[in-house]
Amino acid sequence: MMEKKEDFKRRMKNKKKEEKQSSLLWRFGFTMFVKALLVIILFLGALIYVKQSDDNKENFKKIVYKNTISFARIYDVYNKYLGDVIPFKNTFDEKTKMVSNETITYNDIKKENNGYILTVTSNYSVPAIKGGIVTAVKKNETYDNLITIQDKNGLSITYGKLNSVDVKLYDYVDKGQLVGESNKELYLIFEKDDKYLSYEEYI
Amino acid sequence: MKSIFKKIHVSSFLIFVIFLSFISGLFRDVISFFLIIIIHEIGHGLLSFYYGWKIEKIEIGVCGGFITYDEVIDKPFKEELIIALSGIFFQSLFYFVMLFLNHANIIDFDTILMIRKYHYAILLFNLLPVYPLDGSKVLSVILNVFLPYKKSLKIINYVSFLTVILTFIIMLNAKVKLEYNYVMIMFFVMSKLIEYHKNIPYLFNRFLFERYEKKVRFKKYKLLKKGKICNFMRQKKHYYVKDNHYVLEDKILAKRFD
Repeated sequence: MMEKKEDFKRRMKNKKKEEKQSSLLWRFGFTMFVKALLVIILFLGALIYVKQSDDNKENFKKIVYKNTISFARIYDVYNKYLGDVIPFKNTFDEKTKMVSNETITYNDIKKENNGYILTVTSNYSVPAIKGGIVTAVKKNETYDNLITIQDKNGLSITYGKLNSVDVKLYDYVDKGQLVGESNKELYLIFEKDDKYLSYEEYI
Repeated sequence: MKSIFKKIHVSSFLIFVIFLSFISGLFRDVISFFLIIIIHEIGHGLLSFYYGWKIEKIEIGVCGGFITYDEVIDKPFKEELIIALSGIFFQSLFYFVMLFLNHANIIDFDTILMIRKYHYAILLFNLLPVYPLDGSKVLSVILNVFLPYKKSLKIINYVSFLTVILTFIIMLNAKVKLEYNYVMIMFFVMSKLIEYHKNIPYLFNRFLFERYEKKVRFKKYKLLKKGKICNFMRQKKHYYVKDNHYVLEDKILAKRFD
């Protein structure tokens, strides 16, 4: 017996749906395969590059591990022309920041590695030399707590030998804001565009 | 439930703001801000789902979300009020959870201050009686309990425009710096408001047509003031007096739509 027109239509529709689903599956599988292949190519490419020479290895390390985006510069430029990025950001005051008007006062300064060791008073509250964003908060044996602040001109200042740190990673700090406390010795590194700079201009 | 994700539209401006925040180093700010907005919208969505309202589209933008429903206009007041308030309620719930975590020393003080800032800013902003915001929905329900539908539409319209102008004047006087993101928010709100203003006659007509088509049964009856169709109220079945007879509203509707 001939099937009714409606039944025939329904059967065709179901068949089309099935075909569509299976072709979707094929397309999905194919794109996943291509993406996996791309990842493998990139990985092997990087590996080959690094194995060629020591210079390449240093270059690679620099690009991948050490470079940071100039957050402070971008934020500063955007803020100047278009206001803040997130709405309501400066509606209520978050917290009272401890800011001091003085620059760092020190008795003696001597060079060490890429930076300088300053002799300061005991329990010295360290004010930020330049305002910017905290791009690193580290800890190690030689220099206790270290923080790096990147300012809007690309200058990164690292403050080391801190007993305590009052700021968090990616906080924006103002110039003169008290970022931590150090006892008798403060370590400073001035770095810009991968060059270590001298302290004279800044403190 | 899977289809919920197909209905969510994220505005490109929002993606731009998130991208910009990330390259500006404002990670914590942008994450707390948008977490609060998402939880606010989840609140609305959950309660809509509970009451069985069909969601047509969820648009997420910089000042929050906007949900359009595929439903009749004349939904029970209780449902509409609860859904309108659910966003703020869930947002506050989230805030209290964060406060508790701060108490339990899991979240530190600075983060809580930031979350508090965005929570109150978004809360107060949403309570403004301007059309797409929750505040206007609450006001609309209150008005519709006492006033005819068409009149409350117009009042919401006036109040919204008035509030926008007032806010603008206050911001100018307080010399608040004109920031690009406020301009975008204002733009979004105004475009929805102007669309609403143009739609008032259409909304009124649709409201009447729903009654005519579905022959809804409301529990309460009300004498139609002056027998005029523009005095129809939500959630009430109307009757009027003609030649010493009581006549039901169906006759008026039939005259309009037949």
